[in-house]
Amino acid sequence: MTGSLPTTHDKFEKSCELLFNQLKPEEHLTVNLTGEEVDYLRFNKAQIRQATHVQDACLSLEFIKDKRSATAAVELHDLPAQSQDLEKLLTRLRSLAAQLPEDPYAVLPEKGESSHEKFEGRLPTQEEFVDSVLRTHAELDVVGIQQSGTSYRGVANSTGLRHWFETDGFATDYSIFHPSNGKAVKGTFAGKEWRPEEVSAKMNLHREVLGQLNREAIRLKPGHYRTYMEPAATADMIGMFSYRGVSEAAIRQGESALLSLFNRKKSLSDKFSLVEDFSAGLVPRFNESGELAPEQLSIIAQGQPQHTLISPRTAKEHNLVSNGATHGEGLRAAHMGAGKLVAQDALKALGTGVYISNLHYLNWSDVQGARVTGMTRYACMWVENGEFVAPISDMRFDESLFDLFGHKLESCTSATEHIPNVSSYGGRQLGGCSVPGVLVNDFTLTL
Amino acid sequence: MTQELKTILGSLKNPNAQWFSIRKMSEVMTTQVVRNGHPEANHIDDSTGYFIEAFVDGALGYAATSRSQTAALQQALDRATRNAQLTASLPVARLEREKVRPDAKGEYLGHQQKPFETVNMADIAEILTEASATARRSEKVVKSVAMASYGTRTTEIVSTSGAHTFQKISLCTGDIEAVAQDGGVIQKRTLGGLRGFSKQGGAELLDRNFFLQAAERVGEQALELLWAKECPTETLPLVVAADQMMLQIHESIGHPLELDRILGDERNYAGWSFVKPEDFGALQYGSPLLNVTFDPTVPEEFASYGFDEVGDTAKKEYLIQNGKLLRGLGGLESQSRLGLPGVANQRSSAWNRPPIDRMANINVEPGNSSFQDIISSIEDGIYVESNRSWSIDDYRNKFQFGCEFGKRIKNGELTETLRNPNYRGVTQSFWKNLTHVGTADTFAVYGTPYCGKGEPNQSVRVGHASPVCAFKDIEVFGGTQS
Repeated sequence: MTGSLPTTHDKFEKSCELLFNQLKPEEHLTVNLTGEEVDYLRFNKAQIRQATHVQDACLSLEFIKDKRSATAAVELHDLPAQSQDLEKLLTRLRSLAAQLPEDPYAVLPEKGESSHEKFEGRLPTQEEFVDSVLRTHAELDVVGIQQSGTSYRGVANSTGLRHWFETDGFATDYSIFHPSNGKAVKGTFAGKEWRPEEVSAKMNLHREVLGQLNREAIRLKPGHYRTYMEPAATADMIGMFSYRGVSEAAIRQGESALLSLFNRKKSLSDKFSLVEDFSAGLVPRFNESGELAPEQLSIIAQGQPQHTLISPRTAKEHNLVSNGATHGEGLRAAHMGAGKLVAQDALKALGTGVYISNLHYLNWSDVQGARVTGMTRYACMWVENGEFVAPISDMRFDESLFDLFGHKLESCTSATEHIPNVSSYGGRQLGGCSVPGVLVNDFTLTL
Repeated sequence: MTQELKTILGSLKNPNAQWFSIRKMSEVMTTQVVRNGHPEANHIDDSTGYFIEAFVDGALGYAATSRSQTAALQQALDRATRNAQLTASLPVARLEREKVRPDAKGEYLGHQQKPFETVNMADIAEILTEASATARRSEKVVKSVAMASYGTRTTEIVSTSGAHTFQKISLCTGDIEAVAQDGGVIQKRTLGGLRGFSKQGGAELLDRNFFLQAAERVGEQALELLWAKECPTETLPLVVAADQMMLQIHESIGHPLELDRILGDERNYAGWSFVKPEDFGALQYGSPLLNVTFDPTVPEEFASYGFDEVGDTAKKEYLIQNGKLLRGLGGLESQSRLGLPGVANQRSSAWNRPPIDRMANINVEPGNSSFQDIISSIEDGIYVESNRSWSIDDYRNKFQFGCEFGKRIKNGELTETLRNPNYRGVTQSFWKNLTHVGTADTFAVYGTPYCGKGEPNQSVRVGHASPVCAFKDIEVFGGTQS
């Protein structure tokens, strides 16, 4: 992709060599790289809105000496032209750290197992995507974004540890709107191998759902409803566990919504299990310090707490053992356990109630009660006797995770679905989560 | 103004684009955080890169690179040109270059009394350490945080048709946080969670007395909340402090008025809008007391600038006047696509993102009611400060907000403190229930560093200023703590 220009990995290695060679005795340095070479193609009404190519590589430095630390992040431009600037940055961090107060929780770099992973894929060209999705389905009001390219993550420290993770990948995140009533079907494609036949098959399925959205929307009254959530909706709920939920630091600082779970004052349903599972290899296992997380870490098993996510810094502060969590102590590869409900039987099992395809804009409404509020979105339907009746008007919910995944959880589907992380703040995010659909009783709709 | 970009512009070969521009954006921000008296972060972020726009047959294409070598920039121009050609083959709208990328020339230097170079990180660390200690009013305060983030953003744009703008703004954000615990009750009070203190200005904003006074109040109120009554579940008059008004404005006025949302660009992510193109000039959005402006010219407000990133000159415009909707938040591209007037608001989050319609400073203009008049007019109601939770649907109708701190209003007076005050409503009926707008002495300037939108995602800084306002018949409720 870069012709004769050096690769991102080459530049990372050269930067590290340059920086580590400048270190003096008793000085410690950890270097992280986050980068990408990605095409973003934004579309609306099956036409192109904005096509952007991004080449980005950001280098982060953590300097420590005598328990004093300072950090910096800088875009990696071109070497050797930037060499002097990197040396100056290190000199600045050295000078700053000396002036700053001691940081008792600064974690010195450690030796460890190094890794190098590179995943190549078969990505669609921009033209191929435009042809197979936008032109082929031009009669559909499809809106969203296609992200496609190579992502880079690297860590190196002054003990000699190195990790490199480079992966090709694409993610198409889209909605198809009904021509007249504002309702929509939501979908994603993601992976390393673009298969046009899978795209066609999925688009045909969407057409069927669009047909079900023809009927006039039903306005539900606030109340408690038997509800089935598709995996995409479950994924949004599981996302809240990463929002200061399973973080050891948040628990210690009184800010975790799941404090009473991890203090063993409350539990969840024995049908609920949550694992941090890196076995799919979609995201790097290493954290910013270069520690490798275990391939699998049980967070909650049959409703009982097992492990929190502990970063090296939190471990040092509380005299614990780190489990390779990132600084933010959020889930990077969440996997919620499956159950026994066959997905094809979900409507029948629901009987009469609300079928939720997607949720929107979740936030804690009461942290200590683990209460979450948010909205229904897209193709949510009213179901009677196991049959779709009509779409519902958007409803607000307000529900505690202790109830939703506690006594209200009736069953989970027997297969999980991978919901890709399509976020691109700062750059294309990797991975996603694997979750089942869930059948719950008395789901609380408030407005 | 510099010559660097003009030199680069002249050095790039451009066989296929009819026009192109280069935007260089540099942002240098220092962030310092102290928790429970110990440093949590002392970080310098220095982000610089180049964004190239190429225009071909009525369409724009984009490419961004962190590399500065001519060869890399040439590659970026070639990619931008290919993207423009691709877009031109199936454009959502065909654009006229002269209309959507005017040849702006000028310089804008933002408000700043004292450059950040006049302070050092050790001095700021000392202030924050002291503030963290001050917020810890008792052992029941289990977490006390003081933080500041400050620095500058420089944006320079040149184009082949002669545009050349240079803008430099200084930014400062700060927060104090205290988490208090008594048995099973945990309460958190902040200065506003960054939304309480986000302004343009220089080192004069990193004022020791400001941080210490804020820390004392935040720590005291965190303790006060431990023993406060739970907010009742009732439908009552609600008085909203300016630091909560800012988010109410943001979510239920700012976002629904964005023209790119109305055009449907955001339907897959941020959402659509209940506002239709035909509503401009016709829709009674709220009470006749409601006057809302787009104003990127308030010097100390967080999102002030001289030009947006497509070269439109920034100026104040009324969005809503006497409750009637007049104008949307759309830059030159959206204005061209919709045939409606808009504002100078096409901005990007960073050097590697295209400019899209964003809020800048969206403000509710002061009214005629003093704070005392507002409170004394209410027999039984709730007063709320400082947002802690927000959620709204993708058409911007049904919202729910949680606040950190409340007071019961009884017989025209502020009485007992309430914890976990929440309220919910529907946008238009809420704004139509606006009964009082505070006078200028209740008006305060706030902002947020994090307004998310766009695909690829972009988080930008926006400003909001408002007086205290009162609303009738609002559904309020509390938490579930015992």
